[in-house]
Amino acid sequence: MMINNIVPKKEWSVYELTSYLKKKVEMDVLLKNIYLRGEVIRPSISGDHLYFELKDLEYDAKIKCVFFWFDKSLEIKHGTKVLVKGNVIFYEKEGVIELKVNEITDIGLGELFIKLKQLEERLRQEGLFDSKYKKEIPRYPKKIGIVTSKNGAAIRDILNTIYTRFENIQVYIYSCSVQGQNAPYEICEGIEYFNTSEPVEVIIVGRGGGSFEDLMAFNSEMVVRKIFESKIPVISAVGHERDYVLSDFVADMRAITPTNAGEIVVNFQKQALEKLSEFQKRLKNAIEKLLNLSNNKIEILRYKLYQNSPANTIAKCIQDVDLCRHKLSFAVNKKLHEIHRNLKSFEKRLADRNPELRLSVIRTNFDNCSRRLEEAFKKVLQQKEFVYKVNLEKLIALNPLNVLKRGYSITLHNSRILTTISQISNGDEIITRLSDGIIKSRVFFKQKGAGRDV
Amino acid sequence: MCELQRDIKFEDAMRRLEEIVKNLEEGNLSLEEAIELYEEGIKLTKICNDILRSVEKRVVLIEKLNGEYVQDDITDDIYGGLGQRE
Repeated sequence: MMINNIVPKKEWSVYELTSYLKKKVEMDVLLKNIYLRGEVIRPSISGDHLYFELKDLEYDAKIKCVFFWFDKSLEIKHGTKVLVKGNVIFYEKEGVIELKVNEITDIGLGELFIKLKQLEERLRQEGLFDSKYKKEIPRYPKKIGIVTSKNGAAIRDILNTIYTRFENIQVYIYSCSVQGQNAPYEICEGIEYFNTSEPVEVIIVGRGGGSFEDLMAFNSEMVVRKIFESKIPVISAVGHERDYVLSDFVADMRAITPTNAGEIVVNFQKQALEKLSEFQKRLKNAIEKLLNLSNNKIEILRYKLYQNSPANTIAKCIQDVDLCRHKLSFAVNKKLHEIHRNLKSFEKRLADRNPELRLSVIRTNFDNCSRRLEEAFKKVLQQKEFVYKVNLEKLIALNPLNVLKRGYSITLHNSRILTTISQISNGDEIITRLSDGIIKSRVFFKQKGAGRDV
Repeated sequence: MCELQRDIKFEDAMRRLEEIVKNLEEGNLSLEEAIELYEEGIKLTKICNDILRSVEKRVVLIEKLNGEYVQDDITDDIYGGLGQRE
């Protein structure tokens, strides 16, 4: 048997599981030939077969159904409440449980649908759904009226949505029946109550999801007309997104769910808050930018002021003076250095030209000259002496006195030696000089030519 | 600076605030003007915030009992026995 094969294994193949489930489901006698009541959802015909889902009237539970060889004369619509007979099967290929329907009975709501369509058409003709009558939903309502059952899920959804976002909204809940015979009257009373006794800024009318029948109160002509007459804007919030009721058409706004109705009433506040925080941010940025700009300007001016302040000018002057002083000092030093160098050079040159040296040279020269002069003089003197001696010898030799001794005499007239007789005349006194004396005589005669005879 | 009315309407306050923000951002203002506008803007944001947030929450349940309307403040117990169907 298959079970024996499966149990010890740790891993199942998908086929093993679906086969097992199929056996489990189809062996169960309780699941054979059962009657099931529910609402038809999304019926579709494929070939000769009808596929749809059957939805639980109270709970949000569904099961897939298939009706093979379906009688097409039966009109099965979405939302139709039916009683079906069939077997529960397990469809291995999809891994789902389905109801294999053999029979559909009690197709009860067809007539109601037609009536509703007729009502809708009539009211539309009357203009109740015209957009020109739609009132504007206040953007920032502070006081909201809700007409719904205090026991439904809708009221919690609405309150949750509003109060998780905003604390400042006053909510008035008019508790009423939302299904059953009394529901239309009570809903109308609620709308009337807010229009007369407790003026709110907006009214939400609605309930949570339910069957087509459950929502019928919101399809009632009475409720539709009451909503139309309301002076206060009305938001219709009935069931789920796909549920459409006449109150949706007549209301000033349709909310797709009760939660959505809560969102609608706080939406503008939410947006305003976001905008407000954006404004705050922008306000802050703008002023900060401006202040920064001003600060920068001040900083620049302060810097310029500082740059041009007397203290700074003085400091600059001091700096300039200092610089000049340095330059001066440098220049002076340089000059001094130069002079010093020149001095050294002069000193050297001077030293090179020391007169003592020259003096010594000159002295040497002088000495040389002096010596040579002396020698030359001595030589000249010797020569002269020699000449003198010779001349002296000669003189001595030529001394007339010596001649006179030898018998010669010299006759003088007027102290002049007579060499010719023409130098004297008769009668002249003459002096004759002899070696040992003189004779004075008078000329009495004279004769020319040597006269030995005399 | 003009004295801001505490009973200024929210939408008027928002409009004025938007105007102030734009003016400030365009930046062709003297510093004094800018600061004055900024202060006015900050006051407006406070007013708007107050309007949006500061009102106390109040939940009132109205029921018709024996032909009379009965109001019951269920603020402290926000669900006040509401929505207990499940």
